[in-house]
Amino acid sequence: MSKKRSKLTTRREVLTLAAASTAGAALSKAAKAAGSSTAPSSVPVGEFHRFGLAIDLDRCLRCQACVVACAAENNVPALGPERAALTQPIHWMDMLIPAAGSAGSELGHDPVPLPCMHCDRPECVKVCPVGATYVADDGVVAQIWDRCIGCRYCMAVCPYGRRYFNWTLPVWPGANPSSANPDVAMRPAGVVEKCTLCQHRIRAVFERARIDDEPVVDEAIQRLPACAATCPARAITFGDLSDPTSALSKLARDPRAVQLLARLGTGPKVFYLRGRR
Amino acid sequence: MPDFGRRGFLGGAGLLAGVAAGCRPRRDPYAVDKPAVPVERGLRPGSESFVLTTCGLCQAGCGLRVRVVDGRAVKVEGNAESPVNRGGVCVRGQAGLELLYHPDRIRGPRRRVGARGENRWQAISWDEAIAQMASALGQLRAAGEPQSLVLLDGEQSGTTHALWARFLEVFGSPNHIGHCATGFGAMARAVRSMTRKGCLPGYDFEHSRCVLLVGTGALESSSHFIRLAWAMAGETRPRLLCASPRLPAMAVLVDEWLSLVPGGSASLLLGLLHVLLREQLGDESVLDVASGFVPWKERNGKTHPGLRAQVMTEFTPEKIEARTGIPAAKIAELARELVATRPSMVVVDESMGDDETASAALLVNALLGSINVPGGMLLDPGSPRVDLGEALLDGTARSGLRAPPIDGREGCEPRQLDFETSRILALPEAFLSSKPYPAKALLLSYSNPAYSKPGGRRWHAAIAQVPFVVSFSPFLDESSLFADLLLPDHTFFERWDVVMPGRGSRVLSLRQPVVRPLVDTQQTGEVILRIARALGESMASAFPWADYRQAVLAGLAPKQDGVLSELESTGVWRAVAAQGAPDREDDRAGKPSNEAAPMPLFDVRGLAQAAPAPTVGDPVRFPFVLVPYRGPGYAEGGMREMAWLRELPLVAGNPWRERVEISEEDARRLGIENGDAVLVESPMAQVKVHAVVRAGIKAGVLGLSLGAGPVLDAVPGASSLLSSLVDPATGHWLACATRAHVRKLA
Repeated sequence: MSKKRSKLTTRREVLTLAAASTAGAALSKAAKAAGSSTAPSSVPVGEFHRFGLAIDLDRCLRCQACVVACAAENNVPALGPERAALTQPIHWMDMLIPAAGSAGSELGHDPVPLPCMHCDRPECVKVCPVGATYVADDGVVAQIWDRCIGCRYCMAVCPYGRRYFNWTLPVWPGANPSSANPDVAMRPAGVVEKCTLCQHRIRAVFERARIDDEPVVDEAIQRLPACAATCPARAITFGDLSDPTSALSKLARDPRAVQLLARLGTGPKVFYLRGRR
Repeated sequence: MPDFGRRGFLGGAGLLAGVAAGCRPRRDPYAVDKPAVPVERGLRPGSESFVLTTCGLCQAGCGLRVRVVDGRAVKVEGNAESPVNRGGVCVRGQAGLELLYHPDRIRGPRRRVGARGENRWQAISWDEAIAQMASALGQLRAAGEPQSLVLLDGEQSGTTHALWARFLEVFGSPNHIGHCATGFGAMARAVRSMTRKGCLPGYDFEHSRCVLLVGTGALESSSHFIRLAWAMAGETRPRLLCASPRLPAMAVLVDEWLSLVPGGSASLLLGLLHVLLREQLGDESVLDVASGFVPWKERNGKTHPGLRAQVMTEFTPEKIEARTGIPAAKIAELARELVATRPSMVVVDESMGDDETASAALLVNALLGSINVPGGMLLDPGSPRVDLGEALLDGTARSGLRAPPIDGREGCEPRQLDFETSRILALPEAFLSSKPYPAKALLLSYSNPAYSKPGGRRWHAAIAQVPFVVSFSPFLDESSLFADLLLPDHTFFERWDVVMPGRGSRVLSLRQPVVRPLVDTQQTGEVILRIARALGESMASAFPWADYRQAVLAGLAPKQDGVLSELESTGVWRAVAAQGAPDREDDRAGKPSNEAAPMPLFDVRGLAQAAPAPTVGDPVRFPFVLVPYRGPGYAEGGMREMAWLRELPLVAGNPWRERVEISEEDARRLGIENGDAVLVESPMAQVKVHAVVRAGIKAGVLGLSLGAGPVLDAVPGASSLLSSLVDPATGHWLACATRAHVRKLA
């Protein structure tokens, strides 16, 4: 993968990458000074893993089970009738719906599932003034809810629109929050939230492997995030891009693989497979 | 008591009790809710477990694995052992916990105290409720009119369904009425009359190379969706063709859309049949023994030209071009493609299919050689079923069962209350006119006709006419509002049951409670047993089982050892193939075992004889045709409050408002823009909805989403626009037969 990318890297991307590393290093220093235990990684590209997703658009039936699975796993409530009239629902896993009559994206005119791209060089991280968002060691673009001050720069800058502002406290219009997942914090009002690639699930698996002193095999984690686990058509594959033998790495090398807005140099780690099998 | 769950969530935190008490305190706008802090797994106090169960949000019967932490169900996952869903879960299943923890669940048995529809209730105990119901029903038997008991049963299989059937039989009422007239009835009837098998079809999408979908149910909402999804998960996928007046936004994998005129599906299929016969493309030997294929004579001497002659003269692609909106050349090409890319099959949307369409689809599949072969339509009467054995009937029961069924259906045998023939849409008329006899008690199980059935508000008047009404719904709905007693059922996450998915998959699937019942509900199967016992010895002796679980175990057929232990360890049990060894690989693939011979058809009389489908409404005054559809949130009106399902990204516009889909062409002509408020008027009603302007819909058609309306709203929902016009021969609903007019509201 790295070979392929370096070939495509433009001058501007190189500059961007350099800038991002500098910013990341600065943030890391700041965080260490603040005595934080969850210090942002000093290297934008994960040192140990580079987790990402592949979404096969020729399998995806657009049933949106991933959308609801994500909400259920990560305690994202629906809006309910009153608030739906005022604002848009939060969907960490959303559908990208090209406007009627538009040229569409490189993925065509059809709606496609749209999680956070977990960019290698994310714009959102660059602009965050408080270090609330960072590229974790495992490549996940993570967010520390309690550190976010709600300035929404990251929302403005994310080219994929994958960040949401919590206008209100979590309110369950249909169900009450008894079904809330205890592994995921509920976000307070006034912070930005986003897809974490089910980081808590990743952490649980790797933590367990560390305790048991056993390796984590690729087959065991291909359906790890809630979206991939539920997909009835098995269109979503999770994996480690730093492992060239992983199913995800193979899909990323597939001639059908496309990254959304790759020309921006953000290095998205979500690969769409398109074109008839 | 909306705080029940929240308080449970806070657990034994006594010092917070003061904060949590009370009903939805108004939040101090400056108060900060402390986020729950995630803790490393294993360090968190409390217990975590995964409970195997079976989904209950459609008939597919997918195996689930529910994560339970400290007694709270927190996430639904798929059970990879289940051959039905192989670990995948669709959008409904994922939202299922919203149903379990819904704050509006009825919290225990209730007796009506206000006027009907006034929504005033008194909490009573289950003992009182059972006693009241038994006394009301006992009076009917004492008066010698047990037939005046009517049950609307939304289930079509399983032990609760079988117990209801038995209950009505020993009670003496022929009125066990299902929803088949607005659902799978046409297909069930076609299968029964043409192949003499009593089962509903499944479809092996996975091994098919080309599938013609007639209607969009498999893509949006039906229980066939999960099997279609497997096909997509494979290395190669079938070519998908879809003939329908509208193509849902999610149908992007459809390779070709044939924009069909509403009501033209039967003509299209008979046109395909014409090409298959004309060009000798299909296996015509399947029709060798079929009566009605060649000229035949009725007993009274009336002669018929037979199906072959009828199809050859009346259904040439050229003649049906106007009726289907599909060019003749395309129809011929389609027929040749289905033959060239075998295994191929036709899949009709059962929720909207009329009799002619269902029969024609079966015929085309038979000619393609696509019945009970890999990649075809699966008709498997060998699926596990419930057999509770014979019951002794007393004199009252026998005399009651001799009465004609209240819905006017024919061919009802008391031993086998036939679910293919009941005519639910005839009930409002029967109730209001008291013909053939007055209905004196109405039981609503999995049924909310006042909301979900065409004819809309007429059902309110009809239900109000019945002196004693009992609803088993876990939620207060439009029909329960008129009940005298509410006996709320568990949600499926609180129930114990063994589910028989059927549809070509020979499995049993275990349903077990993932949490203790959250409110004071009782499983309806249990309530049936209790009421039967309260109705005296002659009823009680037919229900010898101590509890529902015993009844389930007694009724399992085929009877084999080890079923329960396997169910409890893996959640599913696969039927053992006839040879004696479990044919696991085959079963996973959903292949029918050793039935590769062509499926002969026995009876094709009556097909292709009818005049073109009638419509309700003057075509000049009502230039549009309403095409109802069931989106992912449809289930007898019962999923309207599942907020995640309503707010799906592919739902255009404000998801909490009712919508009507209109083509770009029509919208431009009428000056309607996306999101505009419009008034839709049909001969039945007029309703204010919001327009969704989109490309995937034929001009002259209004796409009407069912089950998207408000809950318990005074304004009738969009389903009240639909007429309840039925096929007079079978009582099955003609879904696309209502005309309408639409205009923009200022």
